[in-house]
Formats: sequence, C-alpha cells, structure tokens
Amino acid sequence: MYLGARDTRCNCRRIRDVLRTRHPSPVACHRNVALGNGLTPRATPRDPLRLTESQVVFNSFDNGAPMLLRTTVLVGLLAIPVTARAQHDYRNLDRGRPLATEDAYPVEAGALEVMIPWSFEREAGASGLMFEPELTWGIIRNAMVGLGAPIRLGNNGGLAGLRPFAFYNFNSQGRLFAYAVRLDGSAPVGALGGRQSTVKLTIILTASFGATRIHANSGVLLKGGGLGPLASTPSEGFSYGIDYTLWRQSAVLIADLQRNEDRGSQDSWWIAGVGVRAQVTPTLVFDFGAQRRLSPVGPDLLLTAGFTRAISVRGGVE
Amino acid sequence: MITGHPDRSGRVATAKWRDLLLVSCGLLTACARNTDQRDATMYPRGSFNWTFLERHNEAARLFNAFDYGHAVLYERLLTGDSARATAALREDYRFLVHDLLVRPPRFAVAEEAISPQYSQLVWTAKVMFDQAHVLHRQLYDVYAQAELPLATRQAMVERLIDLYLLDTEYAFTDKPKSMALMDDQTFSQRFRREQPVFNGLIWAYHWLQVGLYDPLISGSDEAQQRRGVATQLGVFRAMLADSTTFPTTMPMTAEVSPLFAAAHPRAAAIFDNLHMTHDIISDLLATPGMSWVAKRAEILKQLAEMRDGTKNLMEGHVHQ
Repeated sequence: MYLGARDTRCNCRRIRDVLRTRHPSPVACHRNVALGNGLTPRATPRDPLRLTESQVVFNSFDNGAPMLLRTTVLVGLLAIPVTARAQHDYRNLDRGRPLATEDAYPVEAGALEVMIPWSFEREAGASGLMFEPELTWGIIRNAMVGLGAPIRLGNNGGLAGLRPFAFYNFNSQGRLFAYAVRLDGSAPVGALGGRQSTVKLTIILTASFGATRIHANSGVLLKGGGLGPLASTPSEGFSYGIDYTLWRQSAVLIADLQRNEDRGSQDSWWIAGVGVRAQVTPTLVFDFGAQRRLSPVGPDLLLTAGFTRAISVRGGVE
Repeated sequence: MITGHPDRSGRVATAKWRDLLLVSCGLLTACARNTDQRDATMYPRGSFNWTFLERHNEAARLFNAFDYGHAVLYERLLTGDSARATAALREDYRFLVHDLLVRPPRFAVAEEAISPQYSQLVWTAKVMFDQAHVLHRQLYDVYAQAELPLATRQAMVERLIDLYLLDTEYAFTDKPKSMALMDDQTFSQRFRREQPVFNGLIWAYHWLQVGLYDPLISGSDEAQQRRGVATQLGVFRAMLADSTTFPTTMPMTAEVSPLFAAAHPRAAAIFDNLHMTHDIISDLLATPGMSWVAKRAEILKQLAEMRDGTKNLMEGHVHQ
C-alpha cells in the first residue's frame, strides 16, 4: 500500500508484534487494527478489548451484505449519467482508483467528481469490506481539493475518519515530466476515526510516452501515526506505476508496485497491483483493481471497484 | 521533513535523499523552459450538454475521429522529415478513411496519447483547440434541442460564446482575422502543397464541423434535424469516397452555414480563426530547417496573433 493511498489497512506485523501477548492469532491482531484501536485501545463501546473474541468479528461478507445492498442502490442512483462530462476521465488516475499510484494531473477546474468505490480485502484468513466515497473539486486551474469519508461495512464498521486533501500540479509535461504535490489530512471523526489527526505530503511525477505513461509517487507522514484512523498509517511510502491507454476503447490498463514502511515498527511491505479504468458514459468511469502482497506482510488479496462521476459546476447556461 | 528513528537512520536518510531528488526534479521541471501549465477547464454546465451525442450519435462520433486525425497529423509532421511524414501520413489516411471514420470512437480521443511530442511542445495550442472544439460541441448540443424555441437557443448560444471569450488566455478572438495569416506568411501553404490529399481531408472535417449548424437551425423538429444532418453526412461520406471532391479552399462558416453565421457572427469568426490556425500550425510543423524550439516559438506567436482582435483583421471585419 502506497502511503495515503488506502491507509485503511492494518500494519499487521507491527501490531501483531505489540499485541502478541494479548492476541495470539494474527487474525485477532488484524481485527484490532481493523477496528481502529491501533496500538492504543479506544475507550468506546466498540472497543474490541471490551468484547469477547467471538464478538470481535472482523467484517465479513455476511456482515457487510445489508450495507453492501444499500450501497449498491446508492451507487446505482448516483451513477445515472447526467449532463456533464469528462470524456477523458478514464485516463485520470485517482489515488486508489483503482491502484495506489496516481498521476500528476488534477481534475479540470470547475469539475466536481463523485467517487463511489468499494474495496474487499483478505488477509490472514480474514476479510473485510470498505465503502470509500470521496468528493473532488477542481477549485482553480491545476489544483483540486477533496474530502473522503471511508466507511468500514459490517457489524463492527463505522466511519474511519474524514480525509481532506489538496493537490497542485505545477506543469504539463514538457521535456521531462509533470510534477505535482499533494497534502493529505485525516481527522479523528467516527467510530473508527482514531484518536489523532495525521498529515501527509506526497510528491507525484508523471512522464508520458504516447499511449504509455509512467508515474512515481513518494510520500511521507508529517504528523500523526499509530493513533491515526482505522489502521496505522505508514510513515513513508513510494510507488511506481505504468499505464497504457487503449484510446479507441477509452480505457487504460494500469500496473503498479508499492512499498511502504513504518518508522516505529521498522516494518516494510511490498504490494503489486493491476487494474483498469474505462469510460462508461461521457460522465462516468468504472475502475477495477486487484492487488497482492509481495512480502510476508500485506493483503493476500485486495480488490477495488468503483465509479467516478464528473459533474460540471462551472458557470453555465440553462 | 522526516523525523529520524534512532535505529533506522540509514533508511530515513535514504528516504530523505529520495524525496530531495524528487523535489529537485520536480522544481527543475516546473521551472524549465518549454513547459506549460496544464490549465484543464471543465466546460459550462447546462442541461443541453450531450444532446447532440444522444440524438445524432453518428455525427457526434465522427468528431472523435477528427480529433485523432488532427493529432496524428501534427505528430507526423513534427517528428518526421518530409519523406517519412509523407509515407506515414499515407498509412494514416488509409486508416482514417477506411477504418476510423467508418467506426469512430464512442468518446473523445485522448490526443496526448496520439501526439505526445506535439502536445509536450505546444500544450497551449492543444488547450486553445480543445476549448474551441468544446464550444463547437456545446453549440451543437444547444441547437439539437429542437423542442426549445429558436430564439431561446440563439440566446443560449450567445451566452456560451460570452463564456468562451471570457478566457482570454486561450480563446480565439471573435474578430475575423485576415486570411493572409494563413496564406501569405513565409511558411504558408507548405502543408497543402506537400500533402494535398490529407489537407483535403482536414478541410472536409472543417466543412462538416461548420456544415452541421444550418440543418440543426432550420430543422423545426428532431426528425427534420435528423434528415438534415444525414444529408450533410452523406455529402461528407461522398467526399471520403472520392478524394478529388475534397474542398479546394478552406471552408468558411458564412459560406457553408449562412444561417448560423448570420445569427452568430462571433462564433463564425471564432471557428474560422480556429480552422485557419489548424492550417497555420500544419504549415509550421511541415517547414524544414526549423528547430523544435523555433517552431514552438513561432506557433506561440501565431496563437497570440489569433487571440488578438485588434490587428490583422479582415477588411470590413467580415469573412467573405
């Protein structure tokens, strides 16, 4: 997992090491992290340390199904095409949509993007579902701001913090590459929101070679850490991605490699992923991705799928 | 930026150097010459958007193929010498006429993927063209709403033109520029002399782009509009079938769509200026002996000229 891309997963090994005496099984460790207590249990009714082992049920498909149904209905309604556009939006790699690596370009000025993504993760025999809606607004040219509100589905689910971000692109690619910076925050809001806010800085480069583009993202945690929302947030991370545009099909194929490390536990983990983004209507993009760990720590399987709908909020004519 | 962990100073130091390197590379790039701002802008909202695509799908999709045609042309002219460009364009022409224009893409083509070098050289030109093409498309959308009174649609079009012109950094002027800019500069007419068939194809694109307005204006209902659009498409298809019937001069809006030009003289001037600029850039890119830096500088100069509504205008400010 690249820093900040989907910082809703646990840093299993780190937590496992710390909690080994209390929770002998990796899954139990993972459950604690998934429930947001990180290294410091939260004194809330949902505190897993106040629950029995059988009550601390990691979010399974069974538990998530009703919420999934509601989410699907919501998505169906939001996904109805409207009169706006972003016909090239399929090529705009958003963080986590479908992989961690993003490109160095923001949404158009005057565009509002509504992202409606899900993710399913399986690790050490446990699985979980997340719904991670996000709003992005092209506030001025070459800059966007946004707000995400990841929600873990299931009986022990809840809001996993609010995630504002700001992104600025410095240039279109000239001789070298396009360059952008991104600042991510998280506020400890919601049952799984953690106890501490976090701030992350990411540098993003994109170089284009026709239909092929390569991307490099590198991020560092400036504030917060183990007490951040839901899972612990890696201190540092980088990712490299490559994509290939099928211009006639209005689709892009993506592959990336991510490395994250946690300063406190000295853990590091590698994840590889492949994905696709495809334009469904002039205003709607569908994305799908699959990722897997390459190191002992990390998800056995992480699937992401979602829709991104672009809406014009620029002064118009009615 | 990174707080070192006592027992991990080596790794933290590595991360520091990595980030420092990325920051340096980024700043270097951002400050380097020949880089432009991205400046992508969403186009104005409105319930009319995409009406043309929904109701006249075949025609709307053709414009996606036109975008590809322009992009591949510029890339070939920029990156190849005359002989290589000629050979490549011959293949591209075949592909366009026998494949892409027969089965156009559903959505707009990402031109950067087709013309990466050209896009990187003069991103400003790409933004100017994109915004003018968006104006084209939105005007079709408005006029395709046959259920609205004509006066209402005309007022909406004028408002869209106002919004377009607000962006003075990228808008073609609404004053008709002199044709001498296209025909009488030192580099002028090279492309049409060297690539007459491909040039004819480009002019056929431009003919259809402005030629759809009058059927949409004169069609009193959707069915009539469909028939009018189909007629224009038939003429365009006939041109493709016989390249000797391609236009021999740049199609002027007032000639091809007189109703539209009379109702919206500003739009007619904008589109004529746009189409002239396409030709000017083709000529510049086809000019041998100019470095890419020189071509970029000259193209930017020509783009500035095309945004300037105070000089080099047509006599009487009306295209003949």
